[in-house]
Formats: sequence, structure tokens, C-alpha cells
Amino acid sequence: MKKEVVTTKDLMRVVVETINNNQKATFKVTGSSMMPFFKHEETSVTVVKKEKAVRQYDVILFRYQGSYKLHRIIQMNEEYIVASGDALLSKEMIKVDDIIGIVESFEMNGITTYSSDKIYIKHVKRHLLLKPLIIRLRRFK
Amino acid sequence: MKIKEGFMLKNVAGKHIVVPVGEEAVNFNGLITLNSSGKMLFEALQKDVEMIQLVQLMLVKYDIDEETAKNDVNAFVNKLKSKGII
Repeated sequence: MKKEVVTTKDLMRVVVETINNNQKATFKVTGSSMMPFFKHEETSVTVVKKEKAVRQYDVILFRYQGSYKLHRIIQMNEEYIVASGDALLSKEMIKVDDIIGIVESFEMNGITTYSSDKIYIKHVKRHLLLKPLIIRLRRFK
Repeated sequence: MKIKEGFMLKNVAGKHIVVPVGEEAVNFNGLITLNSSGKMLFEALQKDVEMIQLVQLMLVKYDIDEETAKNDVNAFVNKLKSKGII
């Protein structure tokens, strides 16, 4: 029988349904907006339903302008959350209700990292601090 | 043989995937995707059926010989068995 291929983008509707059904969903990341932490078609993320308050540096799956994004919270206040891809300078301003789930852990090359891992968070903070510089330098390469 | 409880066929962008609905976690990297004949067999397996009935279903629906139908049904059933779906 011929094998059919379904892309992650196509799967998102079912992924979201699964998370809303209180199940964890594991899927491969597509796109390079979360480099260097998540690599296109290499990193698998496990997303769980948002049950407690989100925090800065959490990676969240959210609705944005008719599609779904998996980006990191870089700023937040009582009304809005600002998310951005780790490899991007652009930002998305969203509301808590737009959040579908939070990345609980991710796996790449057989190594699983939990979002609560202190060393990982330290790397994230350092990356975010240097991000504007890294992205601008990359443009001149 | 029949499909175990807790598996559902969902249509995603015109393709059919088998999604576990009762488990705590769903790994979308290892999901089974079905073509039209796979979908037909999956739906037939919602009831308790024998291998020969699935082969007959394939022969009625598709213009293939018995050996091809048997091979296809065998491959399909083995795939579902390996994933613990039947």
C-alpha cells in the first residue's frame, strides 16, 4: 500500500484537540524560528495543557492570526504576554486565552530536556540577552 | 480480530490518521497514516472480522488479484498488530 505523509502543520488541528483533551502531545518542530534550542524536523516537543500560570521563558503553543505558533514568552504583565521566536526579533502580543499549551520537555538526538531544567533556563537567558546582537551579526555574514 | 478500544480514525487535510484517544500522551511522530484502502480495512475492523473477509472486501472494491489482496491485508494487519491497535 502507498504510504501517505501528513505534515505537522496539517496535524496541528488534531494536536490542539489532543491537548484540549488533557492529553500530552509530542510532535516534531517545523521551521527555524526557535533555533538554536529547537531544530527543524529534528526536535520533538511535548506540549501539555496550560493548567497553571505561565512564566517568562516558557515556550508556549498559541493561536496567532489564524495559525499556531510555538514561541517563547519574553515579557508578560497582567493583560498581555509578549512571545518571540528564539531566532527572531519580531514579537507577538497575545492574551492568556490564546495559549493552548506549554512545552513540558523537548528531545533532540536522544537527549530529553525539561523546561524546568536550571541549566537550560540559564542558556535561554543568556541567549535572549545576546539575541539582538547575534541576529544582527548573522545578517552581515 | 478487531480494533481495540481507544483508537479513532481522524481526517487531517484529506488524509486519514489513527489517533489513540484514551492514552495520557500521544506521540504524533509515530502515528499511522492510512490511504483509502487502509481506511476501508480499518473501518471494517471496527467489527470482529476474519482475514478472509478483509481479502474479499479488497477484491470487491479494487481491481486486484487474490494474491495481491492477501499480501496487502497481511501487511496492513501486521502493521496494526505491531502498534498494538488490534
